Amino acid sequence: MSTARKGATDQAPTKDHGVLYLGIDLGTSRTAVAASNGERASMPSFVGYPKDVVSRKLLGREVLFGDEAIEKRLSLNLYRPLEKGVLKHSRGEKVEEEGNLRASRDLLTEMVRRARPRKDELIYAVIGAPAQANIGNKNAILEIARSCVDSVMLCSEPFSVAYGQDMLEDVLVIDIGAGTTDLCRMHGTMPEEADQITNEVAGDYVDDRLSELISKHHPDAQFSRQMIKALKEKHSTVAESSERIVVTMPVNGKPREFDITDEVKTACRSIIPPIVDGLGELIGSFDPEFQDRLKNRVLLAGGGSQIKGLDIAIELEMHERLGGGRVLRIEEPLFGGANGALKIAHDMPAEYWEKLK
Amino acid sequence: MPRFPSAQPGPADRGLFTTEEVHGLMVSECFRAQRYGHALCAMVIGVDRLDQLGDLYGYESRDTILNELAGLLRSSIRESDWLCPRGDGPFEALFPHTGRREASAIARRLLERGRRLVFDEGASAIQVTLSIGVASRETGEKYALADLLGEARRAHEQASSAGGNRSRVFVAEPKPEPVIVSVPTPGPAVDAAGINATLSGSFDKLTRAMEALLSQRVRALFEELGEKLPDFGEREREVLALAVKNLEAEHDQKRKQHETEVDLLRRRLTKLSDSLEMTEDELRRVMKMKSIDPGVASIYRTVQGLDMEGADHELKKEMMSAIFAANLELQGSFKSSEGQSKDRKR
Repeated sequence: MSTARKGATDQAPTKDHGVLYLGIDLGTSRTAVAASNGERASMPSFVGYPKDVVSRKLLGREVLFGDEAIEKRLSLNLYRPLEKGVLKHSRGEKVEEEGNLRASRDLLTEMVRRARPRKDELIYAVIGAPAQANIGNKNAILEIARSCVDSVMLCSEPFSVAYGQDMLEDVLVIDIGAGTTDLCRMHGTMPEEADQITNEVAGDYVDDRLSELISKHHPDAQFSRQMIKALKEKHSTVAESSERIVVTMPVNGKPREFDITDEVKTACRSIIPPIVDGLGELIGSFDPEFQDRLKNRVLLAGGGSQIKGLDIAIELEMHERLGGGRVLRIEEPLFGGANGALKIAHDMPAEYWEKLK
Repeated sequence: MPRFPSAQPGPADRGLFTTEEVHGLMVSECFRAQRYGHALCAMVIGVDRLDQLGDLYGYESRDTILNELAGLLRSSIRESDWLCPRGDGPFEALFPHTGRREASAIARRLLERGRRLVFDEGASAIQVTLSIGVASRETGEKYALADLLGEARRAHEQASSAGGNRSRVFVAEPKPEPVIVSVPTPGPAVDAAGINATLSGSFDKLTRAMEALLSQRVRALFEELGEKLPDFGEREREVLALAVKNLEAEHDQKRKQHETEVDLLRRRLTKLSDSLEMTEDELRRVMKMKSIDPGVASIYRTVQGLDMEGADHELKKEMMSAIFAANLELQGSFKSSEGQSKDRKR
């Protein structure tokens, strides 16, 4: 019996049509990609696999991502492969290591696919990693990235935000994510370890606080973590003069309205003190001659920067505790990290990409 | 070298009148023909490619050929006909009481006899041919001898230019009747019907002139062939109409054939276009179903790198180097940890 042999038509196409740059921000809550073909995509960092044959048949696919995975989560084994900014399976936790590894690989592959690369183009990607990710965390990202792209580099997430804004000197970056809040001091060179602080008071912390407060003040209300997250993203604010926040939650199956204005504001304000603590540490350890300059150039980025009034609130706290300060929020908080990573990818010389292939 | 009969030098020794003498006699003959109302025909007879023969076989051979031709002509014409050489070229002859038809017959006879003039070269025979130009005047016409001879010479040139070994009858081209298109002076009201009628009349005149020319050509052709011109009479228009009808029928047939082919091609094209559209729709559907995405091309064909003239160029260059160095180190540690895990598995 003859066996089919792979002919020339089965080989991968020659990549000689161009170079596609990708800037990827792998976030605990959301992952974003920006590409040099104009494509951009952002989706929740969720990956779901059908639980059984029936759900696979109903869903019609082997894997779902993002909002679709969240919507169909009852039929899926749902994974959130990133935690505190790094891949779960790289944190040394043995729980569902294989599942998380598979999910992280599929997540990154899907993000590359959403950038719509051509088959005949080289793909060079820069991926943002948390400022204080260890080597194991970084290697894990590199390992899964190498299967999706031709050449890959990692860089610090807050650094990529600053690079994307072309603010390379005397700038303090606050990148508020879901798992971590990264602070980075830029002073005209590559930031070192001492220039970067990471704390775990971020979006997920706010969700936890909000859940506690609602449970405390409205014990009858029934809610899920996903509902809390959605409420937060819709109504998050620290401004005093905001409208009342009234939401509907079931009580024993019956919908009821709840005023959660104070709970939301309290939960959102809870991240401010750790941020200002970090700012104080970075400013205080800086050259005294340039501390004022640094205080007045604070860049607010990340999903958490969308909390209404947060920039003003941080400024007030800085005035109270540090004697002054000015906070600027970047225009596209969801794509700030991806845009900056894309810019780094574009500026990286050709020979560096070749050596890392 | 071919052998020729011995040449006799000088035209006087050929036994003919000189050109001047004959010319004078011809003038008298011309007046006589007009006075007494009889036809007169002039011919110019020449040997084809005489100069080339002279170049090939020598100057003496030219004299020999001309002498032989003179002998042939003398033996072929009547006592009343006039014949004289024209310098060193063709012979001129005048035939009283000879109309165009008779002249054509004489020309044919001379051509045939001329072909029989063969000169032995030794290994092969050299045959000469003649070109003859004929011009004639019928009874009652007024003309000058010079005009008649001029016409005969032109006819001879035509015969010679057409390849020789033939005769040509001079046919005067009718002067085209001037087509006068009179357009009424534009006034307050332009009579379109009147303009059309005037233009139509002018075109009719043009058509009649062309028909007259065609008739003359046909007549000359029949006379050249020595045939009597049939009397088409009123059938001339019918003949022309028949010819036009045949041409139109042939044209219609070709046009119909082309239209059939064009129609066939159009139908094929429509069919192919429909097939293409269906195929493209199906392809789009399958691609959508299989989520096949051809992708969007990057705006960059090559690796870019830093803008050398950009702001903070040096600072950014340092930063790129630092990022690269860190990644290279990371890659090294990754490879070494991979190697260690493989060793552990073994």
